[in-house]
Amino acid sequence: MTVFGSGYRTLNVPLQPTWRRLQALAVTSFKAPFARRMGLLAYLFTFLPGLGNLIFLLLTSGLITFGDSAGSGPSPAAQSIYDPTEARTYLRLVTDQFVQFAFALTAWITCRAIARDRVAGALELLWTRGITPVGYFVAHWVGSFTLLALPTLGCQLLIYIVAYSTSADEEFLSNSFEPFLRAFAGSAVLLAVLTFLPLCISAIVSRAQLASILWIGGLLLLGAVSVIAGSIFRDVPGVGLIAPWRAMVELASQIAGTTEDDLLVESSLSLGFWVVLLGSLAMRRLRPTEALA
Amino acid sequence: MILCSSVGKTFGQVAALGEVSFELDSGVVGLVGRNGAGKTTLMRILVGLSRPSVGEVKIDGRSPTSPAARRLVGYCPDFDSLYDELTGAEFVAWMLRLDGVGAKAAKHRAREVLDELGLDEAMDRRIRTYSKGMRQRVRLGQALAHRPKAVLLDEPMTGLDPVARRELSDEIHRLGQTGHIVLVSSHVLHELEALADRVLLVHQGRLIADGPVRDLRAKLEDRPHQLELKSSNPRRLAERLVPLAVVDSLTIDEEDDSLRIETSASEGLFRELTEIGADSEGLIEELRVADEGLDSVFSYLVARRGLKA
Repeated sequence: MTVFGSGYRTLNVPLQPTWRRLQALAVTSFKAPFARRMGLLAYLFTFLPGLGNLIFLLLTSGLITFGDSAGSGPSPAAQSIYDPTEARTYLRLVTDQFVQFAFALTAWITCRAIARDRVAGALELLWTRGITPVGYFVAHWVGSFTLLALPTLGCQLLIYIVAYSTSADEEFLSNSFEPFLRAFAGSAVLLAVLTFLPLCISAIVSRAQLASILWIGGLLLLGAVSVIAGSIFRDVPGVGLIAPWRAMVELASQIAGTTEDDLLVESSLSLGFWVVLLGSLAMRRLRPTEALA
Repeated sequence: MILCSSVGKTFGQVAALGEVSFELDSGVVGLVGRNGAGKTTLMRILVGLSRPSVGEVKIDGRSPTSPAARRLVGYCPDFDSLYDELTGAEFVAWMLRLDGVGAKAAKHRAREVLDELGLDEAMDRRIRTYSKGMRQRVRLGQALAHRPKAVLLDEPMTGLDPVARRELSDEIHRLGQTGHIVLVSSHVLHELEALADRVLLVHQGRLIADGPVRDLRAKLEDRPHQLELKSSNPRRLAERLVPLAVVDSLTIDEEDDSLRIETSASEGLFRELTEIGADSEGLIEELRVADEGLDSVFSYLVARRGLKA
């Protein structure tokens, strides 16, 4: 075997900018479930809530009909449940229907992302490539976010486009665009935090399974604490927002304008606390080890 | 090209490296020292993973953390650092992408370097199916793929069988002959004898010797070397080894499936072991040089310099 048969020479290829290098990392994070066929099938399964919403829209709009109901159009009751001009129609896909899938995906993929690199011993190798811990973290975050965004934000967008293109109402766009945009933005913020926190845990701990356990266990435990705290301190507004998931839902609802309560500051502070705490711990852990080898 | 001037590193009260100075311009250089001597700390400083507490390192006149310097250096760490679910070609191509090489060029170059390293048939198999030697070649491949001028290999021989050691040695030798700087660390001086033109000997964070390997070797001549072999069938291996003139003594540890050999003719013994390894696959699973002789060199040099052993 011989690597350089005719003496040393440099690799003569144009080098790409930093963001393209980080893109390679983000794609790795995004493609993680697709390494096995079962993973791909499981991921496709997460599109069910979004596709279910789309089918429901087609049913209520009368585009899909069954038997005698053909041509009768959507019932007023069904239309009131599923109104594509309202923000909550889009937001509940993320806050209600996708919850189990979101937790499963973050525990399965996001929690593994960095812990997997640490277990493989690849982190230090990456630092020698000039990848910074911040760039590395952001790349994984983008990968995980995209993975969750496709079955949620992607489906929201698809539903809106279908609703717009099938609507007979000439003022549909002016009536629905702002609520849709607010729901879309609220959902995006929720997903950004929902992928950020488990990724931090993945960076902090050394084992992927432990990261998953801590993430799901932490969500459940803090959820329980928030319920108890809420029942004890009934007069304190937003005390239940100590739980990250509740704070995420509240913040998304505030942005989407689907709630009467004014808890924007409380939910932002709660999430800010978790983001700063876990984010700073993650950055500390990602620094190249300065210890006796 | 690599300039290390008065480099020191402390961790709290512990001095891991102190006042280490040397310059590397070409050829294969061995970095030898006992476990914990400071070899890995020095390697990490050279590749920019750690900053020296005092002194400075320059790679072609630049800081090791600068992008230009990073492109000049390839690093093969002493730990596994591979993704088992990727193929060898995918892993090396991915590392190249992180170097800034485009997807198509990265794939092409990864295949080229692994082909040149003898992994032509295995490069499309998942890494989890690789032997230790093959994994080592993939690690070497990622260090060489971006065509660095200097290659830093941290304990590359650890855990390899005699045939894989021989192949890796040949490759390191060729790299040195083709204008590269190759810094190979090992806690076994013997491993570097046939490879290195020059040896840096570190002890307790200090550079206690820097010179041609034969000068250090001369101090070992009157001492026998000890080797430890792991085998699937130690008795059968012993039957092959006992008749050899190069074996001074041999003990079998059946509980551990290992043999301990003492020899005064280590080069001849390594030749024989390579042949046995090639003839009977699996008979030699692992080879470890328990080189008592190195200790004697350390003791000699340490005593001469008035340091604590």
